[in-house]
Amino acid sequence: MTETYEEMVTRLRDITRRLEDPDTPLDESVRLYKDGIELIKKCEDYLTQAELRILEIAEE
Amino acid sequence: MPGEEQATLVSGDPEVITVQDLTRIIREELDTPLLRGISVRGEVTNYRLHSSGHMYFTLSEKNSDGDAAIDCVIWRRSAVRVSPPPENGMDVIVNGYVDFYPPYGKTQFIGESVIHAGAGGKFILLEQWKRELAAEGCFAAETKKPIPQYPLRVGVVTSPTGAVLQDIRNVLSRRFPLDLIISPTQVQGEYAHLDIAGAIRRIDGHADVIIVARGGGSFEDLFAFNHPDVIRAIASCITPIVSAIGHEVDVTLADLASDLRAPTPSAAAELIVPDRVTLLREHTETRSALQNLILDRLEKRGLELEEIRLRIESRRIKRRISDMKQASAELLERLQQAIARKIAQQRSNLALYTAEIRSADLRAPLRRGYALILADGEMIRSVNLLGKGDLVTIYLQDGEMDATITEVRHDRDV
Repeated sequence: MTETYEEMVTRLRDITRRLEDPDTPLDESVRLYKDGIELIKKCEDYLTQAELRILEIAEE
Repeated sequence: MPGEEQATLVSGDPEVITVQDLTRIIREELDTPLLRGISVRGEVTNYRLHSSGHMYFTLSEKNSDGDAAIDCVIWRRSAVRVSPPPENGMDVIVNGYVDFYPPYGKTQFIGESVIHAGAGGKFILLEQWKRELAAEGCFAAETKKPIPQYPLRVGVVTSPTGAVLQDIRNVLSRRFPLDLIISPTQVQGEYAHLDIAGAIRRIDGHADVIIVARGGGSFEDLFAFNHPDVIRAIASCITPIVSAIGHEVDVTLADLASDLRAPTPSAAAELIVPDRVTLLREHTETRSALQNLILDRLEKRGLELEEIRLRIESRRIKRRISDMKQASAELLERLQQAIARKIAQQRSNLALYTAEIRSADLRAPLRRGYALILADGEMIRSVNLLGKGDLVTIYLQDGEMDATITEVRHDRDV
């Protein structure tokens, strides 16, 4: 199942935190940065493209 | 309650008091808890709705031990919420306080809410339910469930027709992409509470959060949302419930039982769903934050490198190197000059020597008695070079002489 928006945001927050940590090695930081940017793109796509769906629960 | 004021009145000297004093005393006497926040039942007569929006009527009662009446006023702010409006002959219960209005010398009952006497029963019923359900813990704060931050499915329990659903739908579609699941129900009427409870139970567990909503209405209109069936349905839900019932001022038991109370249906939608516009702005900010972080990181590493390079190639070494280069360049130059001079000198010595050699060489034979003959600076070794009358110079070891050739004779056998 694809990642939900909430999971993406949580991962993004974690990436930011590790990027802020001075002990994170440089090459890992670069990789984290790339992942972060990709993730933001996915979040933005989700917010702009996905639409509201309307359903109804009928009488049981 | 003999007050200080009272004492002066009955003193021996019958002091005359003004109407102002009198009405002030009356007003103060009437301002007692006994006549405040009370509910009075009576029949509405000579009802009049003033253009200002204030309601005026007389609250009267006729029965065996005589008639009684009191003028009643409901100021516009409260009158607006009285629904249905009172009519002459209606048996009502008015909640309010007694006031004495000096300018007219009139005692009035200021009403804050009016309900059908028949509804009176509902009031009592409501209080009873409230106590009962509170005892069951339906309103307990600790049972309140948190509202999820990013719900994917939002359930809505409301009337399928009407503005409420429309408002909620508009707000949700603008704010965040998700599924809106409608659980339709009656929102008014004698058996509405069964419908509402059923609709809540039907959608419980099928959504991340449920909105129970209803548009504005009178006390009676909203009454179904006080019914224990609805309250117990809400309390037993596993899904968090947001209630938005009636106007902001109306509080039903459903509002007390829900996990979050919103002032209006659209406010409920806004409270539970993040706004994509804000989220998009936040993402842009995060992107630049990440960029800054990585650029800072790279820059810092670059600076560290630079520093190390400098320490290795420190200024001093560089200067020493350049000094040495400088020195060697100078030496080279001096060397070249010295050599050049020496060469030049040698060359001139050489030239001198050669000249001397050449000339010394010439003189050696003279010292041995030979003579050297030159003509026009040329050394003459052969008679062929001369002819009669030629001028020559003859060098001997101690000097030279000029002569003219008188005759030339060739030796054949040389």
